[in-house]
Amino acid sequence: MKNEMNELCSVEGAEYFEVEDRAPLAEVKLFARDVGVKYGENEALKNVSIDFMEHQVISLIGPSGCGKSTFLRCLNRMNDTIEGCRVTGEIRLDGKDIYSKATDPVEIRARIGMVFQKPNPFPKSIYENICYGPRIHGMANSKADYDDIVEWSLTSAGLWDEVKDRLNEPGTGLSGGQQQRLCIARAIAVHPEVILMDEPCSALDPIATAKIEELIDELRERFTITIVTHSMQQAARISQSTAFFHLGELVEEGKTDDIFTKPGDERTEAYITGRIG
Amino acid sequence: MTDNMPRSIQSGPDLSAARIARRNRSERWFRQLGILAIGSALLMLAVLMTSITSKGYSAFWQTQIAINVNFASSDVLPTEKVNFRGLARRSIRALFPDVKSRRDKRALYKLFSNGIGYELRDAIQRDPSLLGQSKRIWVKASADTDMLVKGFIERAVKQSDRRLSDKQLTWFDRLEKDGRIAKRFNLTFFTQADSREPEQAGILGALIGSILTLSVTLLLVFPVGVAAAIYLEEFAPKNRWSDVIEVNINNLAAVPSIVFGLLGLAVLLNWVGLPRSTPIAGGVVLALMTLPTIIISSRSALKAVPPSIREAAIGMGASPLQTVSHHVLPLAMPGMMTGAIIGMAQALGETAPLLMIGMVAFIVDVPGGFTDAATVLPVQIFLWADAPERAFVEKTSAAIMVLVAFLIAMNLFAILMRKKFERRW
Repeated sequence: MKNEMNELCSVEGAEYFEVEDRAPLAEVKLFARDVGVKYGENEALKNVSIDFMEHQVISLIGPSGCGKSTFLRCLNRMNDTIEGCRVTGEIRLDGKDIYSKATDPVEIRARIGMVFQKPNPFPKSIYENICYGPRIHGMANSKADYDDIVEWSLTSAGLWDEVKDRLNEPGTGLSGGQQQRLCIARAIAVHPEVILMDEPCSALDPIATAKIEELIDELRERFTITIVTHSMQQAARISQSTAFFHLGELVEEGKTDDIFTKPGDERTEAYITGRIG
Repeated sequence: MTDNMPRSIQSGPDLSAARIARRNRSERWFRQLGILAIGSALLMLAVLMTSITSKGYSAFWQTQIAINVNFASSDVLPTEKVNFRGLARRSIRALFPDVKSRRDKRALYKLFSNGIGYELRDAIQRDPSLLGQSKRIWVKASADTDMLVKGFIERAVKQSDRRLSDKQLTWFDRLEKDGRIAKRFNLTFFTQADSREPEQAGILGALIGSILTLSVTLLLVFPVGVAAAIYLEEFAPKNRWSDVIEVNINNLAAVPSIVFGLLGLAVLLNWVGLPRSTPIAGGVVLALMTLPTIIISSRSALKAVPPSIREAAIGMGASPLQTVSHHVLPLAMPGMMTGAIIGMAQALGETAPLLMIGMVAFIVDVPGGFTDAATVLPVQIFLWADAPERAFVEKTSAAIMVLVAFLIAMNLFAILMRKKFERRW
């Protein structure tokens, strides 16, 4: 089985070797090769290679502690903030190596937005929450510009009608689902190219979850989305591709339909049928 | 399933009444112990406050004596040239024409404060229309007279054992019968600096000294402490060096304050050459002393900001400095300010290090700036507690009351700040 995996990887690797990483396929937005993460001596992730296609939703699934969140946080260099964390391998955004010395992590995070597991609006007004990103990235000059950004972002996040009359109230006063949509609105306000979502619905009830899922499907038209989820139904519902992680390794990655109907690896099958996890 | 279950599990939990009663008993016992602890702490505090208040409240009143002063009788202008002391003594003698001998006259003057000449001068400077008039003026009684009025001098005691002689007592009784004795609010206590004469001594010099010293301390310690805390908490790599620094800061917080005084003496006065006994030197010493406290409290305020806020900001593309200045610092500020105010309260009550840099000097002027010789409230208390005159006992307690009032005000301010600026998330 180990051999099978190696074969799979080498086949995929060979494929991309031909393509040549300096000029990846036009629709490959994010490109990860042999990504490994070590926390001190502890190896959390090894040899992960995935391509993220433009305007697609890709789900990262796997049991707790399998490294999927760690991998997600590598993609916008969030792991930089963790003491003792070392990332190896290569990740490119539109062909640009995001871990090269010349790359500014701030620029990467402006182009790759993130939504966290627990809704974490700033303890400021709804309006200020949305404006924060555009303000620090110098995207607007006038109050009117900010007003436009706020309305567009909240409308895109499906929150405008619910909050338009109370934009000056604190964002922390909203319900959990609304807070999470506010966080999504905040992320898209800087018009990123990729949005990373780390279990965005795990703290929400089914109704709020449904709204977020609907929203993710709409957002796919404008953004490339990567979502970590524990819910396989959710992965099946919203994503076009799925990657299954187990014990720090990428077991397999492919079209969501294929992964759920004819998994190529028995560990994947075991997980999606509920035998491991 | 039940086959291999241990016997002790099969028998289930012991829910017998005796066991429950024992558990409830220890629960009750512990609660009562807690109430007892709180109660005894409150009782001690109450005893302390009652003792201080009962000793000190009388210092807020001062005995005054009315004398008739004929401002026309001498050439009163220009005021600097006039012998006001002589004028005052003439007025006193006029009340007691029967007192003839020099010794008796001197004893008579002792019923009055020896500063009444200045009082007359002040009176005419305040109201020049007094010129050429004869007027009844209230002047301070001496501290001994004041003690007699407040009941601290026993008439029954043998003459040689009390501060006022029989003759002085009869003069006093005559003044009282004439309605010339009154207890007035002791404004001097709040408007004058220290003095050898208890009735002329006030707290203002020490109060201003404390305020000047603490402003130097705050200006130095708050920016430095907060910056150090932010760097250590948000930016510094976590390695052996940061551990060493952390341990040392914690140790520094526990260093006896007198050591900082010695450091101030050796370094600030002898080496840097700061002027002795001044708020600037005292402020720097107290800043050194409170710095670890401020760093520790600021760090815990920063630690209390949830990491999710930092993640949110960093995820939005904020730089580490933007994350701190836009999000973390505003959220930690109330906690930091509370810590700073508590540190300041600690500095306000500090005596030992200031003794080492000469702030224990006897200073009769209200300090006008950071380089004027000054003393501070706790040192003033120390000086008065050391003074032999009976009248300084009540002044000591009154000064403690002022100090405690300031501490309470500062802590109240800290609580209000926290309530006002605390944000929930």
